[in-house]
Amino acid sequence: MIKKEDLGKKLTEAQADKKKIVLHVSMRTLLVLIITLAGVKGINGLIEWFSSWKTILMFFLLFIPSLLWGLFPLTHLKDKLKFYELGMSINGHIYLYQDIGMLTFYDYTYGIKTEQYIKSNVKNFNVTYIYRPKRAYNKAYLNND
Amino acid sequence: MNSTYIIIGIIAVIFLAIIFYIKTTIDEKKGENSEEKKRVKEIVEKVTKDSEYKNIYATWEEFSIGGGGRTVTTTNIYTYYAVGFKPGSLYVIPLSFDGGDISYGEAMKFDKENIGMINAKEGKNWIEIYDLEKKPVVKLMVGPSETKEDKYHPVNISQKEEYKEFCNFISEFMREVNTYRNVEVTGKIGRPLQKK
Repeated sequence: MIKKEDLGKKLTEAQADKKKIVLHVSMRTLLVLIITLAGVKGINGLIEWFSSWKTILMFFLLFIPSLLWGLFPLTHLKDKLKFYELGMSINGHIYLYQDIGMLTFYDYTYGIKTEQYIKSNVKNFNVTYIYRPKRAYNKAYLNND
Repeated sequence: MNSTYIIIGIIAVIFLAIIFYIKTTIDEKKGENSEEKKRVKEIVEKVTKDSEYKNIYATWEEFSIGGGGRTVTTTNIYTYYAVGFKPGSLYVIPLSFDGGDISYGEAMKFDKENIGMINAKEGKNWIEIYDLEKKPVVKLMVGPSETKEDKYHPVNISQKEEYKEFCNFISEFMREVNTYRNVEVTGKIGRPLQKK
């Protein structure tokens, strides 16, 4: 069991990128609303869907998962990445460099979406919603003078 | 009707080519005395602590295609270096970019004593350095100018003079090391030795 004390002195930390999260939530939610309205054929169609319990239930069965997808980036609001002398901590999980090896940054692009990861020998960490993680890494371990 | 579309298409292509040319020219001009160029020089001076070393910005891009079935993935790995060079000696300093910041990592110093072989081609702009066990240590390529294209091409640096000098340096350094180690290389990227 690795303890926080094993990591040594804290060097830098990066917080959640709140602007990016808000932007992504807005775009996703807007997309969900547009698709929902198009799916039920406008406001009038929506009123029709709400005319019986069966269709109301069906509507929510489709709408709620979509809305949850839209709001999903909000789960990253408390994301935190910390770099220490001997390891790192990401969202409270602690890793020692002697266990995970060297870190590299990479972007994974599919379609118009790009996700940013920190790659190690044993695990990849999604840091898409962390504000400038590479800057924190550079400040911690590279020379900036 | 069809010829109108063709003319519009040709005009659009010419227009885009002109815009691209103007942007590249402006970026090259900016690169002659850019902040990035000054920073590379500063890093090389700090690391080498020797004013005899000339400096140049270098990169290496590794491209691979993977995946299977219906999924095809392409991977591009970009590596950036500040390079210090003088006859018989080479410093390679890894760079890391974030926004406008340029940080640098641990420098590698090479001379004929700690290199097993150099793969390069006379007059060309790339070099592969191998350790004493003939394992690749570093590969890099230089260009006369680098312009900002996207986040993976983050600098405007014009280095025509340094480029010529470094290409000459590569040939001389390769000759020196490979003669010392009694090695003959193919001059083909990634395949330094002839298959027996």
